[in-house]
Amino acid sequence: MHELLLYGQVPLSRHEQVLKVLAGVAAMQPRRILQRHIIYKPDREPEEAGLNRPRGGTQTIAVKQTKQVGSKDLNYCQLIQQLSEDEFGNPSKGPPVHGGGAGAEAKWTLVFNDTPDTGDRGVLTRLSQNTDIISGDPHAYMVAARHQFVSEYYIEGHRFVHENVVILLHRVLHEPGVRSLATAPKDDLPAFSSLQPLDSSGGYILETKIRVQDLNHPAVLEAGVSELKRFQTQMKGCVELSEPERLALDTRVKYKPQTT
Amino acid sequence: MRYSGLYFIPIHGATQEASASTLASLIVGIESHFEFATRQSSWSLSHRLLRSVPPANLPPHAPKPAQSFQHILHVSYLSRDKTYCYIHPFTPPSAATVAAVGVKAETSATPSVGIKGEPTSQAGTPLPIQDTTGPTPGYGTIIAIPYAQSESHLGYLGTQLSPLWAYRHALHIYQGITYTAGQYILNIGEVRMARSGPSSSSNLVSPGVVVCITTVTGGDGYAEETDSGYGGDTEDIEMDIEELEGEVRQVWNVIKKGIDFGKGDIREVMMGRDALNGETQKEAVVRMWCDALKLRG
Repeated sequence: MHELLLYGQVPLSRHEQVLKVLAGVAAMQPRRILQRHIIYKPDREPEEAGLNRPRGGTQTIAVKQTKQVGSKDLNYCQLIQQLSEDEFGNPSKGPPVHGGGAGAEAKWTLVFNDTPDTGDRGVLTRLSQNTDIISGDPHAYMVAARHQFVSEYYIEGHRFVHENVVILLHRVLHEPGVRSLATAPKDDLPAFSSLQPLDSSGGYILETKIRVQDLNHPAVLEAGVSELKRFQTQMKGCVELSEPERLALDTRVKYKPQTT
Repeated sequence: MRYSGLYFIPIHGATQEASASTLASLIVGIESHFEFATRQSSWSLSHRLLRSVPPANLPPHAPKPAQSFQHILHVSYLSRDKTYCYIHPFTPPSAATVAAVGVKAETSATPSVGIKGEPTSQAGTPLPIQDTTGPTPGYGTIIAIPYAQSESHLGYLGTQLSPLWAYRHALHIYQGITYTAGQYILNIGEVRMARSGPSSSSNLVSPGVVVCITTVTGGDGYAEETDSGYGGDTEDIEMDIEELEGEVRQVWNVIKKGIDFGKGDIREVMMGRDALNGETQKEAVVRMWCDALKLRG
């Protein structure tokens, strides 16, 4: 599945106003969203770029060159847990990270977002893969699938749906203090009041998204791009939606040369 | 509460004709030995196997990291709308084990899932992998994902995670046959393997036939609260695993009477001790199927 994306910024002072405008545009009450995002990366380091390509000239007899297959990138991925406010700071109520439960609605989702494509459509395009985890231990699965824990953060905001556009007005929260030595997500959620915005100004991000199943249908892709741009125009004057720098959403694990 | 045992009958040459013939013999065996056997609705299975890829830039003398298998399994009679992802480490078979012909699969020291081979003649068909490390209770990790997301998840593993996981094979059972015979449920089916690609349906071979024998015990026999009968309350039921396994073997001995399965060791896999815990019964069934469907070659 692919996503078409535009982003905007909303200062804290205008948050309530924008929330009301979006409720009017989408003709629905905002749906409160609280999520925990746990970041994982593969448990091996990526190879140096271009290492597998031949360098320099050769004096061998010219033979038919087989296609050099580049090394595949390694990417970060995430486990996203849906939360409610009363689960914070309450070990007895919070869903454990080591147990997906067997509820009717999956609480955990494995999310992979690829680096956005290059292109000049006016909107950001990227491959996205979501897999709901209905039962089992999501963290144990990620470790068994050759990933290691990196860090975790929280998202709080509100979601709207306007025709095919999914609108998320949100901000990133985190627990202050350094946890660089953590090798697993916390078992118990912290109190919600202890979380602080990552952006110290308290500003919000407006993410607008349209999901497209297959980019190989030009008509469907164009329809999606047009609809997102119409929404962009509709929101002009309230929130300026734009296409961010694609490398700001780069999820590739960077190669780090070994220091001797 | 249900307890299951599985028998994998390798087919010499992996031809569909031989497989169909074996299946027909088993059907005749069931219908002749179980007078009141009643045919039920069909079932299906889909099994994809991936193996972990060791890092490419390992120093030559560095010890090889442990390898893992990842199974993506859907069994319609276990759950229609869930697919199970099971990851477990494994030890590659030693050279001596690989070279031997007609090798028996030995039961591990502390088995939860019992793996046994029935010695017949020398094996000329793909051998099951000799899993010398287990499995033991709670071995490996299992999650369940929606069945509708199976293909996209498999695509993610095979493309974005291709540096970590390499695709091995895809096995399917289409139109499996189910019989109920008193307190037993018999699921049989031909295993089909696609020669190339994760979902190619052309150029299929049939490496074997599976027979899953389930004995229903305790209370009214069926746990109505689950869609498969597994996972019911087992607290009030006294169970003797050996007795249950003995029952399953008895049924198998009756079914296979008079049938010549030709060359190849028939592989027996039992649910094991996880069956005692109501919550992990389904996981025990998943492990059982995955252990049986690990093929080599």
